[in-house]
Amino acid sequence: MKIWVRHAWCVAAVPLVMSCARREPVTLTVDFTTRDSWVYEFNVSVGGKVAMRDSTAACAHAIHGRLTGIPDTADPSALTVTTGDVVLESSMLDEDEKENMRRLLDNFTISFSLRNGLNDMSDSLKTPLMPAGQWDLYRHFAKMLPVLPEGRVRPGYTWERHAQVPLPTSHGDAVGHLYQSFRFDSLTGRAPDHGRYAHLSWQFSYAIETGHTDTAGLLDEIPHTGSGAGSATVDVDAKSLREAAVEFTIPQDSKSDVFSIEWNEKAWIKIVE
Amino acid sequence: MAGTSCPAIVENRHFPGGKAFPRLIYILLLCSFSLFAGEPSWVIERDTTLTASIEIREDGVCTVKPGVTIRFDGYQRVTIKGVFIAEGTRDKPIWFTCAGRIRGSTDKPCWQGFEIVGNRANAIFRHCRWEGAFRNLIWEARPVFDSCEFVGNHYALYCTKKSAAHIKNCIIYRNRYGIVADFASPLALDNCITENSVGIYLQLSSRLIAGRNTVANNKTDIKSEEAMGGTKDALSSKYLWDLMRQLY
Repeated sequence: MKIWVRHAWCVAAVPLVMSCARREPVTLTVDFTTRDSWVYEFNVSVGGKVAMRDSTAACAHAIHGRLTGIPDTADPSALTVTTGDVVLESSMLDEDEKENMRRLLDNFTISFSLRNGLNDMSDSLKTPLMPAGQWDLYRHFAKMLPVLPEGRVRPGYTWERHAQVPLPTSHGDAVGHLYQSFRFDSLTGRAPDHGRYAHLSWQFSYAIETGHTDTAGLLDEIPHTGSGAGSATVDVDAKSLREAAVEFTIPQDSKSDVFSIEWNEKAWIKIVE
Repeated sequence: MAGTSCPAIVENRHFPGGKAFPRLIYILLLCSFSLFAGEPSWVIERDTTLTASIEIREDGVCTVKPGVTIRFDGYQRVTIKGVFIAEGTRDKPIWFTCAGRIRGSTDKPCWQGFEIVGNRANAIFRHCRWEGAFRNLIWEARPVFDSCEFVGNHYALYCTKKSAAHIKNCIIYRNRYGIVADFASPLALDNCITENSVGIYLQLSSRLIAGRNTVANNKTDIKSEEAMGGTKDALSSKYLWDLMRQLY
């Protein structure tokens, strides 16, 4: 009996040892050219409330869908994805507006690179972002996707990134500043050189810099800064992005005497094998 | 501004349509956003069905000849950043609609509409008719709409970002919204705006530079949102939320 118990412990301990945190340096690389196409499932939800004098309105949007991506041979870390199978829920839009968004998002293309960030925002900017609730996936993806570091790095390594996002609004042009501070948290895996996963996390802030065209001054009245946290898992050996998630919050702000706004955003993508 | 002197709306008054309309259609398989790369001029002389969205770039010129019907097959749009000239005549108007839509229908929108974007865009529309678009957007531009008709659209004309569209002698009816001004000041003169859910919608900091328009028999003739107002027309939470959506 004792022998059997010891044997069982040994058998159980082998995978535990193999899957525990690892410390060797690795290259955090994604190579999308290893497949002809990639499929991810994604979800974005934004909720919050707008309080005005004696009333408060709850606001909520949610979108769920599929991303089908094609690699870019010039940049193996880049993927051009097209949205599909979009399901949209919104408490703020009428049926025609929802249908419009659904149809727009059912075939929307985004290009991003895990080396350089979002590649090309022209898709986003070619159509002004309208107050009919146009859903700009670019900004959600900019917050949600990590940018990977150069060279070989060990768990504990940190790096930063600053990106600027042009924001053409109906009240004038603004710029969004995204500051992300990444950390390589841990490396796990069941066997050497096979199935090792790098777990990343990051803190970030997103701040709005307004222009001078808004003579109504409304852009100055709404909240200008929010912060959040994200995480992602990279398959080091398969060189693929497994999943990523982010949460972003703008706490209830009272810059204006008349209204205050709270904003809570959650987004994630997961690979579909 | 308001009155009750709109002309009687008769669907086949000026514009040809239905089975009697010529069926000469050729399909343009155009890739979005590449139409005028290296080919800055395009003249549309015959009825056309567009199966993809098109963009007139800043150095592009597109002219639509009188009497032409442009139908949109799918949820397409026309983005104008250059020059677009669609000058029909009373006898030969120009028609923008989607494939299979019955003339005068108030069914759901079936194409995206026009987007006239930027202060370098220069568009002139005379004796044109829009049907079934979700939104004809004027973003920072100053197009001219003269003697045009808008029917069965969600937003017949949505003017924003300080656009100053000139809208004159037009008939705007049976749309969800007739003219929307969102941080814009369109010039509207001698128009008839009737039978819409909302005739004129003035959002924050917008005003209609207007005279002698007839705005009557809409569910709501004029709706306005004033900044920081305390009445039922006050700045809405939806407006603030939508502005947040443009930023975050």
